[in-house]
Amino acid sequence: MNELIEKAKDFGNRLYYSFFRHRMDNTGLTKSKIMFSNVLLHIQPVKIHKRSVKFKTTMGLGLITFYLFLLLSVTGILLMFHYVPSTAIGPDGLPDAYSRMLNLRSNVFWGGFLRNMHRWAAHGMVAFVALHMLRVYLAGAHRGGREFNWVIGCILGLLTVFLSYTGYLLPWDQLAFWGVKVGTEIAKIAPGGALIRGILLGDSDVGSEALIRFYVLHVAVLPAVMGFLIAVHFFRIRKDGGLARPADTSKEKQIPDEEFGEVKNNSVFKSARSYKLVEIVKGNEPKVNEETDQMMFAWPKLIVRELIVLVGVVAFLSLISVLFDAPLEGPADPNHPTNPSKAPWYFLGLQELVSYHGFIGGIVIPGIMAGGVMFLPYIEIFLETFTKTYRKNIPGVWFARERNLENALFIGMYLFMLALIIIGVYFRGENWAIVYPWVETVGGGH
Amino acid sequence: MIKDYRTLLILAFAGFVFFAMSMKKATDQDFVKYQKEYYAELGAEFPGAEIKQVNVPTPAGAIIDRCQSCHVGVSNPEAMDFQLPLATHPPIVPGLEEDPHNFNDIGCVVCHDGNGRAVEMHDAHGEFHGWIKPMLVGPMAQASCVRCHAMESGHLAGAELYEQGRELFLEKACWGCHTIAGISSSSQAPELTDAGGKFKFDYLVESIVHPKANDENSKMPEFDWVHDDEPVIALATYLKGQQKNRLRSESTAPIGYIKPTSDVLRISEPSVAAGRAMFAGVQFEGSIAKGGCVNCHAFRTDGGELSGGHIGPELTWTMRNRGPEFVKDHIVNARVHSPDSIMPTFKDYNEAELDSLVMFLNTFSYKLGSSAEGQKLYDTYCVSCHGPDLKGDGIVSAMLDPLPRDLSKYQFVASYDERFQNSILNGVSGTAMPAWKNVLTEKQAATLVEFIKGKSLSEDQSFTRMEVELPMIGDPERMDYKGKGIVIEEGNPEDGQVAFQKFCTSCHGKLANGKGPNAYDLVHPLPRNLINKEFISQAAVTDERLYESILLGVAGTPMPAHDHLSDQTILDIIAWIRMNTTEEAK
Repeated sequence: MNELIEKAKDFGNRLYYSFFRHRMDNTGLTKSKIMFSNVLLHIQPVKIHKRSVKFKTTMGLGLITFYLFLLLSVTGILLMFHYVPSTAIGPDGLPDAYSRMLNLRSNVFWGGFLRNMHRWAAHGMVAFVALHMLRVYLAGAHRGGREFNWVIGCILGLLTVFLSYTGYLLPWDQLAFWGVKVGTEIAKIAPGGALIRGILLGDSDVGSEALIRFYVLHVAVLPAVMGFLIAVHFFRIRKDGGLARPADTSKEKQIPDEEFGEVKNNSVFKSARSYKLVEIVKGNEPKVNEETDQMMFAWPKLIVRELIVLVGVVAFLSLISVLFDAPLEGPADPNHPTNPSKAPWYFLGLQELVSYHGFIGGIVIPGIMAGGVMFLPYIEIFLETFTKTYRKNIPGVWFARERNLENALFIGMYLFMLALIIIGVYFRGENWAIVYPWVETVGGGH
Repeated sequence: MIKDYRTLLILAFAGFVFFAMSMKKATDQDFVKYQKEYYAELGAEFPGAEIKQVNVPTPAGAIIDRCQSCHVGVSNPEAMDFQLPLATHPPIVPGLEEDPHNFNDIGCVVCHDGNGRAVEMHDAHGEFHGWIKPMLVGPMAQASCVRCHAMESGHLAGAELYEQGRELFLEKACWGCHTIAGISSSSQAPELTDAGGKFKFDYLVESIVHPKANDENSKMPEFDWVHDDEPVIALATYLKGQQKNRLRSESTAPIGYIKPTSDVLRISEPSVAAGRAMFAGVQFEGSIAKGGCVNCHAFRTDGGELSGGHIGPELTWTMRNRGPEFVKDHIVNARVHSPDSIMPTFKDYNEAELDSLVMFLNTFSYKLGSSAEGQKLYDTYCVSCHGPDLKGDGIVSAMLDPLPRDLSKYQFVASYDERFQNSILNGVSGTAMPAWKNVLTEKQAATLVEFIKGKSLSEDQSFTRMEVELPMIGDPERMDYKGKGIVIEEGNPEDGQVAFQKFCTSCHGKLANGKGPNAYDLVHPLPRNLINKEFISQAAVTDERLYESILLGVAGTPMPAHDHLSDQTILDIIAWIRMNTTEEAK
């Protein structure tokens, strides 16, 4: 009998070790093995700086953005099972794409909820990309070898907006049609914009060709590009030595080199680090450079924190999606413009600018802004090199005194865009005239 | 660490709860509740919730209709006393044992519009922003009868509101301006053949009541009767029924219409009674001749009592002022007399019908006694156009083009008072001002001129206008501009056109029709339409008058002086204006 139990235990063990290659004890070796041997956790380093799990370091903004992307992928794929990107007029006089929206709301089980979730997550993602970028800049984390990752981040940001924008057309209702129409009209102003617009729309106007192109971009091209760039974005963070943080320089924490063998930090990246195998031995942990005291194992603390963010995001979005329905208006009608025709909110700042001057507001200012922001770290480096102002750049410190000017300008730009968006969303009524949201307007129209 | 696990647990629980809420929302929709209620009230066993979908076959495909998911009892007579949405549909065709409409075949959307795919009330009734067809409640659904039934004219049981609307469309003379294919043809106002397909019911109601609500420049008059809800709803129901997208053609209609015998009957014998009926917009002995003049034009009974609409000029004196030929031509096409008139074209009338109208108009004989004083004369004959304060803003003035003269401007009255007598007695061609010589005596006209002068001129406002003379062609005394020594030649229309395009178009417009870009900022009077043939070629508009008006401007109006133009240029412009308004004009 005992023998049988032993055999069963042995079988169970072998089964267990075929799935997992580690025990579940609390030793450093196990903690490292868990991180090493799990494909999902392997993205994370085995050991991280304690600072990284603190709320105030990142506020989880980048992570939230990433989770929203995952959530959008999941809900998006589920929606794809029902959606057809067709403007063909169905039996009841409605375009197919639009009648699928009506079905989602009425007789497709859980369809309304999925659509709500997809919609709100999309808006949320645009917002959180912006917040994440603000955080990175204000903490100075775009410098110190991370300049190119900032550029990738900016491309990811643009991709997010573009993804959201391509998705905006798909319901094929008045809101979608005229929102996208406004956006593509703005594109016309740019030199060569008409060509890009033509390629995007596949026609001289927003129509069935545009719908299918936007659909393919939305469900295949852009997510694939985005997924790849996200991988690069994360990979570079790893290679740059985790989250940006000020180097520990206090003398008393200097650890002699001979204690863990010869590890010289001769990388081009200041914060880059390397490990020796001895690290995964239990007991007195060997130290790497002077930062070691602050290091901790990523399992389980970091993983739990990340799970908290994930569950939090899903729970919050579920609540929002239960409470608020995604907007849906009448079917797209090219002959009856909505008045006012508003682009999606993240383009309303742009639309507001365009309403003052087409070329300056629609191309020059946003062009300078987008280009300027994308190459901001290089502009900073350029100015520093050519004016010989070599200052101490401390990445990972919020509102560093040395960077007050840059931070103020950056916040100013954000507030400027925010103000424009708020004006565009709440203070613009018929014929783009100023209205006050608290004054109810009695509109006719049909 | 423990704290982290606890947070994770709480969040996971919250997430689970919200997830469950979403599931509940997805499964426990309103129609489930209603169906449970329905079977409970019936006392029957609840067979399980289902979405009841009717696919209504139409020539274009099937209309998807899920309304009966909530309105479960529409076809069940036992549910007669149930509350909405469970109750039985009231009978559509009154007085029949069994109603021919089977909701399992035709669904609800066919008649009531709304969003048939939705199963949530707000959605289904089409109450969300931008939905093209919000639900038609109650009798308004009669607008949809004609989607299947052929009923251009004639009678269909159960569609009383629609029929009332159709009668109103004729009676209120809507047909005079608006085209509905098969009913009327006019280019004065937007076509309404697909009004129901294009516009929502509320929009139609709003457009009838406040024509300017959506388009400030709408020329549509605000009628008096629109403050009464009943005719407005009836008319809107009729208009809502005007949809190009029919579900059945006339030959496949489930039930045809009862064709009235008088369909092709016209008036063949002119009579005052026929004229009166047409004027009032009612049918005369079954004739299909449409009318409704009274909606726009007022008239006075012999007692002096005024009745009718105030959109066009009062017609009490028209026969005496204008004569039968003018009146008949004017009814057929008002533009031959005044090119900017908004009066619809009634070209379908036959001679007998026109004669009937003339005969009816001839019955008006109201007239003031010869001893009436200026104020009384003015208040009777002039006030409806020129307004109580002589400002040219009388009740019918808004729709007149050119606008009635503003006689309160003392500059105008002081400059041109010698013309007034002639204008009153002989009228002003090309405008709404008729010749009053058959109604007023010369003495009365003189009294009126004195009255106007007395009202407008006062001692402390004097205005003297320079005297100018039309330059004689070849006159050696009148050298051309800057004394170049060129003797004045006859006006050259080609040069005149160039000069006109340079100096005049901002107000008078490129076509010289008085609708230049600046005209929109002017209020009263508006720039003269210079291709108004009738006006320009009347005897009173001499070359000298045109010369004077261009050189010195027109006193009391926005027309400025143009003394920077050379005599030759002005003559050229006059020649061009003349060329445009003579017979050989293009």
